[in-house]
Amino acid sequence: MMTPRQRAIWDAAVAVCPDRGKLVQEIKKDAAVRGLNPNVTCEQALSQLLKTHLDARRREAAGITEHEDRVWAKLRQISDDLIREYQAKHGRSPPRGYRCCPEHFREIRVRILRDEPDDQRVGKIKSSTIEVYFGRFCDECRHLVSLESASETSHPGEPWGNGVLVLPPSLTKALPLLKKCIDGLDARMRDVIDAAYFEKPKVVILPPQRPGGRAECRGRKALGQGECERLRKEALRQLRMCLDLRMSEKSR
Amino acid sequence: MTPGPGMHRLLSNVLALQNEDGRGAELTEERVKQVLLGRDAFTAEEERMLATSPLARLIYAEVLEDLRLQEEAFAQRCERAGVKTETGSLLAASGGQYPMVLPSDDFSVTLCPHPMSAGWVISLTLHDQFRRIMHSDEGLALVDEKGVTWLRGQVNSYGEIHSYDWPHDETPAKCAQREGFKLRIRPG
Repeated sequence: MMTPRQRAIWDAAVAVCPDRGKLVQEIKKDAAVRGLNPNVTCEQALSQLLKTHLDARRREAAGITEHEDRVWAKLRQISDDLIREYQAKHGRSPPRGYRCCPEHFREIRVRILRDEPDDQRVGKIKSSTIEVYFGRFCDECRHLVSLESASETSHPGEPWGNGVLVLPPSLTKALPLLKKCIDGLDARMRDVIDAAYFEKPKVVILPPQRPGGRAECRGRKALGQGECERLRKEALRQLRMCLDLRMSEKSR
Repeated sequence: MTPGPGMHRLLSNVLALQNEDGRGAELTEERVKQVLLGRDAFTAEEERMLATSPLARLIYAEVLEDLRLQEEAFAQRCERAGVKTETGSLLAASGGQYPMVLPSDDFSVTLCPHPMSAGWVISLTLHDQFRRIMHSDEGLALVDEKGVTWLRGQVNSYGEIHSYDWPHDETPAKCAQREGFKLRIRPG
């Protein structure tokens, strides 16, 4: 006989268990459930089988593989540990969004490397992969983490890999070539590049609430934010083409 | 003119616009790690890949960051266990007496001229406490205060790493006598 609570759980379980055929097959195949294993009672075996089956259905419903589920459980546990440590150290909860920030993902990676580098689930996981897990499975982070930034894809014309800032030292030899390319830009684009990257503003960028202008501002040209961004993007595009050309000439 | 951070940021932004056709994936993490740990140098083809492929640079940046995190994890583990990874300021080691032992709280380094060649045998021995906090397959490097790597490898069952390769002009014994000389163990 089922209690009302068990009945409710069973009803809920049935609702997430649309594949009854599969469950029946599993029960038929399981010797212990059929009382053929003297070391396990039928009830124990059935309980275990149902738990395993429902776990699998839950993963199916959530679109998560068994491996991902195990990795996520481990990452979540480390994340909780770190947050508890933060609370113990600072006497308060971490700021909102802490669980979803790159620094937290790096702390998780350090904790794994420190304590469990040989763990088969997470020993070799990278910070960027941890970020993807939090973006997919953490309710708090789902809206905060940009999967785009952690993915290895990009759209045409958009910076690749979120514009990785770390460059191999050998690429410094491209800097003089880039300098020549900047010199070849149209004057307006050069001014925008100077303002955006070299803090030598020959142009003043007007905030969005003060659009409209190409007016003079204390002797400097004033550009609207939108126009400025358009010129910056165009300058980057031209610089990229120029640099590609010069680098291929140099390597010949 | 020394290029400042603005120039680097601009170069990074410009290179990020390069097209990626997937060739960058040929540069493996293992290979980048090998180079960043100083075990090898990039080939001309790999350098070209890094200059032209955003994916190759992403792999490079990720490995670089992971190595930094490994250093941090190693430092935390040593600190928690109270293990010192540096020699203190060594008194000028006397020359002529070999093997020369450079002591430290949690490890020692032994220098000895190679008996059969002009090279040197350098041995790092971890003391018990240090050995206890080592993970399996973990590599270590011994570097001096100038960043020169003295030896690198995995500890054997006795907690030792031996090196027979000393490619530098100044002998290790001579280095040990210079002012401010220090050795430090780091992941490698």
